[in-house]
Amino acid sequence: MREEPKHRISERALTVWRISGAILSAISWMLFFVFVAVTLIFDWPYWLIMIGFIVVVVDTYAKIFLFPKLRWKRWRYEVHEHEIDIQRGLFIIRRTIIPMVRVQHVDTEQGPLLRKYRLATVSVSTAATTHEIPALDVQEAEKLRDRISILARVVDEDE
Amino acid sequence: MNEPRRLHPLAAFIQFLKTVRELILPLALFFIFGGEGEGKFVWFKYAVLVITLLGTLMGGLLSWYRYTYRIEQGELRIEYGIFVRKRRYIPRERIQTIHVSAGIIQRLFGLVKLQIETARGGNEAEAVLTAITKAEADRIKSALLADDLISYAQMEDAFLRYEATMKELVIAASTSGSIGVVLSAGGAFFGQFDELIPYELFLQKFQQFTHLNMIIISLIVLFAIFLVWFISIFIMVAKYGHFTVVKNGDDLTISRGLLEKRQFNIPIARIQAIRIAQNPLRQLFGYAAVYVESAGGLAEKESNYSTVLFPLVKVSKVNELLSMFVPHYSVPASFERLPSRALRRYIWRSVLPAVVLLLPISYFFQPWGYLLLLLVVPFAFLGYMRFKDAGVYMIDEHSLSLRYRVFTKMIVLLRKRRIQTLESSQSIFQRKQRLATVHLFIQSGLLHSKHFKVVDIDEAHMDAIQKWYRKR
Repeated sequence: MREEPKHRISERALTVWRISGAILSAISWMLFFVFVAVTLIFDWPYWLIMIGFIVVVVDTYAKIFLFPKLRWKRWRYEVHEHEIDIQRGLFIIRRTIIPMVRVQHVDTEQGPLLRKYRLATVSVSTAATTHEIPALDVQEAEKLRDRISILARVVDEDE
Repeated sequence: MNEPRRLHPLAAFIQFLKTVRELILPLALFFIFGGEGEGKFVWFKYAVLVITLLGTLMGGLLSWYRYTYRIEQGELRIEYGIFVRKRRYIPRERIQTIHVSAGIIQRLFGLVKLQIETARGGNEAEAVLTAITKAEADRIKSALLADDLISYAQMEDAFLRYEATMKELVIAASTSGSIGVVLSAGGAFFGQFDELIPYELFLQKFQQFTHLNMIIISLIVLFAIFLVWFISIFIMVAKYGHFTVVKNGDDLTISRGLLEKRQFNIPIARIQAIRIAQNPLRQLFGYAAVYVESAGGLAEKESNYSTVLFPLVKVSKVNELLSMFVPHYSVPASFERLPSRALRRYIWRSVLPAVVLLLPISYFFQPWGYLLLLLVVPFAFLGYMRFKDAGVYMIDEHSLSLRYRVFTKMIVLLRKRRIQTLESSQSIFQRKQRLATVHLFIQSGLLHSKHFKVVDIDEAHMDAIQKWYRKR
């Protein structure tokens, strides 16, 4: 297949993903403790708790360590003159091509977590789909947004 | 021309019926849960019913009386509202389509319903004149439509026209597979009355009567299935009767319906893709149905912005018809098939869900249950058919077509400039075998997207498609 897109997203994305992974696994742990309580109250077999424990530990490991690392490793993008090239995915790798002529608008957005780490998401919309490049450095994101919006001003001479 | 006019008085009656239809549920609830009738209470219940109906009738009459329209300074001006007067002015430049139809009630009186749509879209038409005479509808049309549109309308006969024959419609209806829909709808309907109608009792009496004669019972079941099949054919024919497509200038006008005539426009420039569908039954007889995917026009009130263009055509005739009605779209003679290493994955994918489902069942009904596992064979065959039918072909610099099968064999014709994004995806297993899945996204309606995919094409072919798409 064609060579990978050149640019990676910010390394700080890893931290942000790990934090949100930690929040999510905290919820899993809470559910686990509820489950333990229910098991004790109704006198269900104890091996259920063991299985639950293993599941939650694996889940936590995946959400905080494995998935963010893999996702970051896969995430690549490149903005060419005529198209935007995006590659992403965990176990299934997706490669997306968005022609500049099809781009309708570009936005940057920032949640509270991203803001804390001076990151922003660039999202590119076509008439049918929206594509996000998550967690770029704020300045880089703004530069990218402006660049795409200039490049996207080409007219569709195919008509 | 510009004096205010009222609709035909029938509009009052239609309004009345509409309100009654909305009131049926609350009234029924009121009657069922309004307490068991004792003396005065029964009287009270009927009084409520009579008053509600009379009130609705009055409301219908008043709203008809207060609803006037006129055409003034190139605008359609409508005034309506019983207590609060409302005015709506629609300038003729803003009008996109004028849609004339006739429901059963309108038909009985030789009247029509006129709907006016502007670019604003939304689910309801901007103005609806529920009941006017045909002559009046023509008058409004010619006063409001831009001049070039009128000339098109008048020259209609000179333009291309396709009309589905009754024979085609009946074949289309009987091979559509909509019998399943009717069966389940019927089941749900009779299921509702489970408590009212003593089915059990019927069945018992019936069994006594026939002395459990299996032959008679199965004959009756067979008859019932045939009956449902006929009903489904009738419904389809009623829906698609008088199916015509007229090409006038840059629009396709599709009209259909035996009892209630429906008509809508699809601007050719807004067509996003053409789909050709062949379910196994139709494939057997060499027929296909052709659909249009569009990004606007009245078709969007149809399901999912895709609309039947030709309900049933011989496969050999498809290209001829397409070239007449939708230029630039044609079915290629051949497709680039998948590499043979994809076959195993295709068979696995269709067999695996069947096995997962069947294994526990056959386990519980030992030993005969294991016979169920024979069902794997047809699923494997389906997998093989899916493999055989899948393919992509780049016809030229501007067009590409896909072919795939879920159950129905589907050919999708696409233009490069209508493909909003191209995506390839590759799982770990696919990567090992140098296979990939291609996804193509198009616009559907104003705000939605639709996507088509072909699974397990050769990596090298994927590269070629990406190259084709990048090239401007």
